[in-house]
Amino acid sequence: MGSGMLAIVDADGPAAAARLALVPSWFEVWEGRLSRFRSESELNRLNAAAGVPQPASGVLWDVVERAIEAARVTGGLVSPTIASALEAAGYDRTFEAIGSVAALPAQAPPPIADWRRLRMDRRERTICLPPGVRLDLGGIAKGWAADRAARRLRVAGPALVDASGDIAVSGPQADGQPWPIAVADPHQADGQLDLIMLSHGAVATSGRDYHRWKQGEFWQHHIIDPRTSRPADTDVIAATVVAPTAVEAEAAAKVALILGSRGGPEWLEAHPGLAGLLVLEDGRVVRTARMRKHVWR
Amino acid sequence: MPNPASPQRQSPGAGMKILITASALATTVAGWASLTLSQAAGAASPNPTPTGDPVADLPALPTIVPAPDLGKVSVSSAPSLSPSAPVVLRKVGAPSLRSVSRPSSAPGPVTTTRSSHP
Repeated sequence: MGSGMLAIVDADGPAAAARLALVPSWFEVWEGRLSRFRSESELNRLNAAAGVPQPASGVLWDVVERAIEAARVTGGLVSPTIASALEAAGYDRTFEAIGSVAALPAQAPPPIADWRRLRMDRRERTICLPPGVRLDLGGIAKGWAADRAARRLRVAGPALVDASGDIAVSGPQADGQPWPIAVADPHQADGQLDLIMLSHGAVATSGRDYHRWKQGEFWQHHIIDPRTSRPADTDVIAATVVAPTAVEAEAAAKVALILGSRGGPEWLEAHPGLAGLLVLEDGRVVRTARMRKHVWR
Repeated sequence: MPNPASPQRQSPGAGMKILITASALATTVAGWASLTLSQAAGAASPNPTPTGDPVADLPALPTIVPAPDLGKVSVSSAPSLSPSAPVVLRKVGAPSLRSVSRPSSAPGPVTTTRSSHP
């Protein structure tokens, strides 16, 4: 997934160590299924066969299903059908590869296909993409991996999994205390804005601070606004959301970032399971009312 | 990246815990109640000789068990909760039945959430 991960089991003994040792292999399998940057991945095979129903593994099926659910809940603001728009914005290679290029050529963004045109046959377990449509599962796949790994680890003890900033916990730590998780300050390297105390669920951050690149005259980032097919024009630098699952946290953080300081907090407040923190371009930090109960005081 | 198998971190729950269970409180209150009812029976019937009337015909005793003054109940700290130690000490002071003290300073984070990082 082009990023680091961390897994913790709050237990001693060989069982916990043995379980933890499996985590890298889980991620390797999932990346082989879900990565847009592995030519032989199952996702790329699906993307190459648009218009024809393709059998899907349990992993791909599960993540596409969650991506569609995220699109439904967010009114299409988070959609898996943005792969072509991402590539048009310059995100057609890994972030590491982008970093070695001075400036990418400008491209007109293609319109984003309606996610409701995807066809999933549950009985046959096949997925059919509309002709010309390709999927990107990036953030949703990350959140899904964090959720899945935390759930698998909990048999060995209370677990935390950090999949590159998308963090899921299986429950409180062994002593009953919540897990302390810092929220990075995008304006200050190694700075910390808040300390979130997480006993259940997940937290994720979506931002345009870390990964950005120049395309033509303009700086671009990887959060696509499906309404414009372009990187979101927003006054939010980074959005952090606490939610019941990392998939939900990831999707909600993207929505908050896309909607900006005017619509983002309102959208989060309207969804009872969510709490958010938005860092704005001008340095202000906006916290939703429910965020207060999660933050260390 | 920290070694996942042996995370180096400070436990955020290092603070002292003060705890009383509901069952312990119930036991104590029940003890008070039975003692008080015995005394009440003696007060209501100064002559202990039975009169022959069945006990079942007695009118219900008034409720004279005083409600525990929760504001004056404090609890022992966790280190004192040994089998021989009193579970509940009655003294004026702490107003809460259950409290968990938190560390005075913020615990160190185990990890950080941020936008995708390598």
